[in-house]
Amino acid sequence: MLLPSGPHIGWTFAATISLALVLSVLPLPDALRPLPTLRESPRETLLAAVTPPTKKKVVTPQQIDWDAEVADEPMVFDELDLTDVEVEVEVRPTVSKSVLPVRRTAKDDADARRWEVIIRKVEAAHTQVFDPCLDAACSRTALSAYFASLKALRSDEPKPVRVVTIGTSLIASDHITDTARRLLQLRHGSGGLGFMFVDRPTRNAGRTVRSGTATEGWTIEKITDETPFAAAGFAGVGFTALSPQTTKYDATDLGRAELFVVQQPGGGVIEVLADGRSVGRVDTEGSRGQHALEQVELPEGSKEVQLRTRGGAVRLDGVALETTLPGVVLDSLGLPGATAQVLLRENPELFAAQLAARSPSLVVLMIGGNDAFDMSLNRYDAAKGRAWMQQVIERVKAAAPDASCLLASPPDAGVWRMDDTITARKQTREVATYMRELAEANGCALWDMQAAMGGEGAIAKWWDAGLMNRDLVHPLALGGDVLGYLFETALERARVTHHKRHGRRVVAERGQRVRRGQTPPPRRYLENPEALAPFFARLRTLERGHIGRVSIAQIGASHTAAHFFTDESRRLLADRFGSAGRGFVAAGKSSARLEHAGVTRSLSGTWNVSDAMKQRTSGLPWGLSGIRADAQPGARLVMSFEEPSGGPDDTAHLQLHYLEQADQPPPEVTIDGTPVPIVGPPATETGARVLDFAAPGSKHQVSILNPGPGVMSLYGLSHELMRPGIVYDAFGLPGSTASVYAAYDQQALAVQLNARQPDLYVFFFGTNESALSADRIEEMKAAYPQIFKTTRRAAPEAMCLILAPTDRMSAKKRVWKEAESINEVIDSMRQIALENGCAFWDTREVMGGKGSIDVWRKQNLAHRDHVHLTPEGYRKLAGEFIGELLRDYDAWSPPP
Amino acid sequence: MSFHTTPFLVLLCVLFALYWAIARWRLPRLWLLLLASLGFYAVWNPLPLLLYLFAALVNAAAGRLMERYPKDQATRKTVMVVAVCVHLAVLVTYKYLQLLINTVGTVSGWLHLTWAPPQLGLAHPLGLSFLTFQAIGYVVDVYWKHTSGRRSLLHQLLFLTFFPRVVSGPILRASDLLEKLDHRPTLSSFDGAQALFRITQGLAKKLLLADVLGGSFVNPVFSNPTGYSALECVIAAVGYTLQLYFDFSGYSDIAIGIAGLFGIKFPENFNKPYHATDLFSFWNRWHLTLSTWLRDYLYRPLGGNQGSKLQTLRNTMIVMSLGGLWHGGDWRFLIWGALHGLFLVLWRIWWWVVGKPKKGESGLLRDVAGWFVMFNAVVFARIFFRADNMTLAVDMFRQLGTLTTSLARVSALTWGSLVACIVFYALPKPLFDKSQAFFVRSPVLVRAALLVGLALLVRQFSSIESQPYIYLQY
Repeated sequence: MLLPSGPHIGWTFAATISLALVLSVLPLPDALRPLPTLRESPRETLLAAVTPPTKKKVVTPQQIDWDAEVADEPMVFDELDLTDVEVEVEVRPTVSKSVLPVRRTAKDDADARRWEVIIRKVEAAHTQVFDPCLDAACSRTALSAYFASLKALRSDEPKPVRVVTIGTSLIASDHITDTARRLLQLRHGSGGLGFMFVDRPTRNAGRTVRSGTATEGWTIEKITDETPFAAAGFAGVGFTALSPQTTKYDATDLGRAELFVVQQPGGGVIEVLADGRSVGRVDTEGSRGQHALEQVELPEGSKEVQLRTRGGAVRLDGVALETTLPGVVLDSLGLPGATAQVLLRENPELFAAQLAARSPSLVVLMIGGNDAFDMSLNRYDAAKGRAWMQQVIERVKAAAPDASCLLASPPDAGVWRMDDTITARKQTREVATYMRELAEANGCALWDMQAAMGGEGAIAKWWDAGLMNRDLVHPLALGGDVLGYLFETALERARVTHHKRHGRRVVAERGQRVRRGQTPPPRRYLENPEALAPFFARLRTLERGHIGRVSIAQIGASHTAAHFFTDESRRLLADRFGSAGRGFVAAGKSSARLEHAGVTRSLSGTWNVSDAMKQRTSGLPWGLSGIRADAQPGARLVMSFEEPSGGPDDTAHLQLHYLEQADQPPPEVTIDGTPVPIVGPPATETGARVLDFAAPGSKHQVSILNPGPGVMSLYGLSHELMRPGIVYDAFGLPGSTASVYAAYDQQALAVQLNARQPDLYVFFFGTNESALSADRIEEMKAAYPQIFKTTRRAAPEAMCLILAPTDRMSAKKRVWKEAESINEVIDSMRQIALENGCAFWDTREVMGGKGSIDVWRKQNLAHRDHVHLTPEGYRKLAGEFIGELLRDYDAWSPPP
Repeated sequence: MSFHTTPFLVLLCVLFALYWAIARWRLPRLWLLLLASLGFYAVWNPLPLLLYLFAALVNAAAGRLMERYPKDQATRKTVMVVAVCVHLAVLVTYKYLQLLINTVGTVSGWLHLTWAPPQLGLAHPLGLSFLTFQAIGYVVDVYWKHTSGRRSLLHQLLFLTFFPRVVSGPILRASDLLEKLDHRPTLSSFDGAQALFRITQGLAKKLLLADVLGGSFVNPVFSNPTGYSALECVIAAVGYTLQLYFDFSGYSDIAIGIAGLFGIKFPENFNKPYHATDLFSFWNRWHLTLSTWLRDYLYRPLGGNQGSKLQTLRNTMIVMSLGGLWHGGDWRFLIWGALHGLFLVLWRIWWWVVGKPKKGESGLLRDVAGWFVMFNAVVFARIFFRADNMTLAVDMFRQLGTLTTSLARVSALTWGSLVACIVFYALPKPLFDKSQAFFVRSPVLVRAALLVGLALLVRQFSSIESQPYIYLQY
């Protein structure tokens, strides 16, 4: 027997540990592997197994001197100075005389600075609001109605802009919403307090900022009660006075009170008093459960408004207190414990009538946190939660069809583990996922609060920063303020983006720059798409006539060299237009990145693969991807291609790119084992040369041998099918810049590019330039004319498209900050594109703008170096790119 | 570093191997245990170890002084009282001073006096309550000449910081540990396997029963009672009673098992407490090392039940109230303890009126009725014990008063874990003994497979919200 069978404790320990380790590395389901991550990251896993976990300490906001932190990091507040953004889009937040201005105080500035520092410290992010298009042409988005009403505030006939926020305990405390309200009103003027409860929905609990000061005799019934209040309106709570009761509010600067009365037979009267003087009287008698909105004007200069009931039972759900001048009003209807299912307990008719009476421009559903909690307890599953949420959205849309709707998915919540560490509640992501799907399906916008906090698991950092309650669900006051700030600024960014999009469309229409007078496509991030018209024409010929080969040559750095972006772009285009093969593949050693595209590569013998980054002064020309593989005599390169879309009836077109050198015989090429004779006069001088071959079938193995006596230099091979379709070449060299590319032997480049016959050049540089100092921008600018000269010489008919760099951050003093020159680089590239008749795609904006690389990192879409994307990230980016390219193509050439 | 974390279990294996490699040498063995204990505690927070060092110094000094004057009873008593007061002063400073200050502030507010109570910001050192009682127990034992006062600082420090008990007990006497430290330890294969089984059993109780029940239902209800029906609140209260038992007895099992692996036998802390048919019996089965400590060092010195009836009742109230307050610096614990004192007083009066039944002669009906009253009294009082604050406790009682009967929020998981807890608790002892025997006799690989299987099972439930050991806070 291998082990003793007696009760030997030491052996038991050893056997247990061994068994756990063995099971962990076996290819078993995770449920049967004690350490599931052992196989993938053995070192980290084993280290974690013997390292005591770091205990989360109890931190309170008072323990962190945020003001000192602000002083240490004065630059971060520049992150989101929206005043500048306003200037950029020419919608200055100048409040018209008809809107009640709100004075920005020193405290507002100090708060914003503090919040920005906190956002940086907890690695939260200014994420984008997802604002889906409502029609195929994207002439309207989910938030268009809201933005239009904001714009109308500055028109000659302004109307109040009401934002109704329906939610849970998250907003019941009014920390998130009061910050959002304050910021919105600073920007657009104040419309007043908005909807106020008669008393706090849970008497004697919570803040009093969203309710009146009421006498004790009001009966409070809620939909969250054990016996839910079936006759609840949109506030989810009803206040009934069976005997004379009062409630009073601060009325400073207010001019109007709208009473949300629910009538009943024999209902009593509400007397409205302003500073003790009667200014109105509301009779609540009527048919049972009927909503009535009663408006009472308040005398100018009123300080207090009091509502006094008498003469019978009175049901009053709340009162909207507004100014006489229009501005933004934000209602905060938060009920602790509310879920989508709970909200459906509200009386549908009363809900619809009351919500419609508010005439909102935007309805925000800030729910889902309690759903995630319930799901974590297996009370119901995501399918049910989703179905209830859908019903809530339908109710909102039916009651306020002209309003925009926005779903705010729940914040990251945590769970205390037994070792006092924190783990994220997994169900939060599930809720966010289905809310995003529902937003898209129902034409609502979505703000992903968890992503804004920093993604799944961010709760630990928020706890460390003293921003969260110990329940790891509710933010403390400061945490709520930060969330409110993130929410409002996300809304504002969405408005800016919307305005940009809308503004440009008008310009395009006016300028008649789009052919045949068609409605131009909405411009998202692709600028000057008119420059692509000839390319679109070739695509159309290919699509409709199944004629020709449309080739795209992407030239760039590591984003291109990684192949993920180009592979996905090729796949997406080929799905629609057909595939004409893999295209160019550089010579080199075997690479797993190529294998999934059906390409394998191997070297045998002695090779030296060098590139333009390592040997800047080689003297010999480089290949299209900036490399050169030098083979000693007898060395061999074998490459095999298998086109997934091809068949035995296809014929392949192969090209061998190599460096022809004087006195060196041509390489010995065999295709599928058959030697291919290479005829031609012996080389007399050194230069790039491209040999063309044809071979039946779509699957080939090509072998290239250096027959000696000298060194043979190879650049790569291309493999295409002789049939209509897309070819997408990737010429990328990690670390390179436009300047590096311009320094190549331009003659050799021209020969090779000419052989590839591209219809469109896609230049994807800039990411490496972004980290250089600003004084090197000129160097970059000087490189492009040379590049354009060469590429146009090689393919005069080809169009060009410049992709801006992805967002990039650099670590400075252990803090990730925006790459030094990224803004200058993007501006320069945009200018170069427009000056040279190229289209321009703002990659960084697509990602989410400044700081988005960090958001992508947290979503596992980018690597920790804050430069490179993960395969998923590249695919996502490629999806956005091709999607937009095809939208422009469709707009240019509508489907027949 | 909790007992059920992977790093702890891995380090335990390493320590086990080292310990038994040097077990024959007294000083290296004791130093190894001391260093391991200090390291174990320091992972949480090293600073309070200064308090442990201080307590050890006080005990060492007091012990030697008392030993120096074996005949001078007055001096011995003075030394003992001073040492006890020093220990209590530390406890009061860290645990109750802020409570007292806040209370004065509240009362000042009632009297319309403007006085803002200062916030001391003193963190509560882990295991301070256990440390204080154990240290006081030693000093009093020396005074009573139950044990020797001539112990080295190494012994004193190890006695107070020994890692299996340092954070949540059991509360040990000198005879349980201090006097055994110098004995060369032995560990038979059988004892070792039993200890391992005890640890396994404790882990299962804690991770598979207590945490699942607590996370799935008890904690949500106690944090928001008004969102649940009265019946659901009742289920949560009963669930908490089960959760607390499995949590604390699970911890005790692990502590006893770990000590056993090092050849040290800890006293039992639980003896099927919910089998009791009266509240006195309950306290003779629940948290035994605390209840016997209170009996020996507080109740009996106060006179116990040897005085008049009124004195007996008074002593009961004092002991139970202070025992309640020992659990934390919050008046809720005082109320909980006082409630238990009150119930015990009423029970005793009842016995005085109707006569205390002799053992085995009470009859089934009386046993059932006694059990019912005992269990409800325990469950009722624990609402104060469990609620996060007084408002939530009041909310809980208010909600119970609504008499609503919905069970809509009790998930299948909750029902399942409740049933599992009850079944596990009700399993007859022979079955446990047989399981233990099976585990002990099993081949090494089978035992290893069982342990790994338990780990996998625990991980499956890891998505359920879980809490630190409940008694970690006391």
